[in-house]
Amino acid sequence: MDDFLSARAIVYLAISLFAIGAIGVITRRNLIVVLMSVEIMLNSVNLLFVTFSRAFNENTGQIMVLFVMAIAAAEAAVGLALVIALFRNQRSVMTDAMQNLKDS
Amino acid sequence: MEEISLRQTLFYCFAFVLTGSALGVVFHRNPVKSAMFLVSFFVALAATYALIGAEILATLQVLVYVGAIMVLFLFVIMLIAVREESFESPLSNIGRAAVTCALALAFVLQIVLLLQTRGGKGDINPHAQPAVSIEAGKQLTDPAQVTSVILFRDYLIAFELVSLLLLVAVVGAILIAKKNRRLLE
Repeated sequence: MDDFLSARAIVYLAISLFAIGAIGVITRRNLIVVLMSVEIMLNSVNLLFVTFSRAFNENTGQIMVLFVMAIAAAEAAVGLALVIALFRNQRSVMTDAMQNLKDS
Repeated sequence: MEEISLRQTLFYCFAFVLTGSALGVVFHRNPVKSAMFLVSFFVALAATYALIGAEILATLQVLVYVGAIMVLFLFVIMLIAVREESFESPLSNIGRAAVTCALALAFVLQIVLLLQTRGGKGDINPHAQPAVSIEAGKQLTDPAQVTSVILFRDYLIAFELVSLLLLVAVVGAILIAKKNRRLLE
């Protein structure tokens, strides 16, 4: 009996990880670090999927995690390509360098 | 007092590592060190998956995230030579000390929570594995077999669509990232 893991503790962990990732997306100005924070948020949701899949003894949640991993890989590839293109144009990857529409 | 199993102790240690690495990713000034923190985050998450009882996903987590995505991130960081960010960290020295204290407090709180946790309904039994039945009334119970049957029988179309999406994403990434000569002239 005492080999059980409490699902509630894992849910709290996932919530705090998601909050940390959201703080990173909002406060950081480096686009690469923003993308890394998005990865943290995706992974915390993955942790929730796995937790409930194991808690209800049903494997569909783990299949969803596989799909989320594939989508995350695609997102990272396209996002980093966009970062490279932005760096070519602006010589900077800071979010506050993107002011092309601003009336200067 | 109930005994604390090795599994629970390990889970709380990994939870602490996870929280600390996530904070490191978000609050470190140097993007390369943020990436290193992210590697430790992914590895600790894979260990957590293995503890919960999803060993296949633990393997895939290390392969996909640490092997592919982190290499991509580090490659881009090296490619565009990001300088130390001149970003006024939202944390002063006092703030950093406060974060450290808060982390220590959170760890103590986690230990207290652990001591009060009792097994209940909906908790995770790492030994119970789901079963799937195939034709001829045969039951499969091996986790890898169950996962692959669900993936390649019930979600086959989604699987093929995801592979198509990955192909499109890679081609699109190359198109976006390559030098556009017509635009430069």
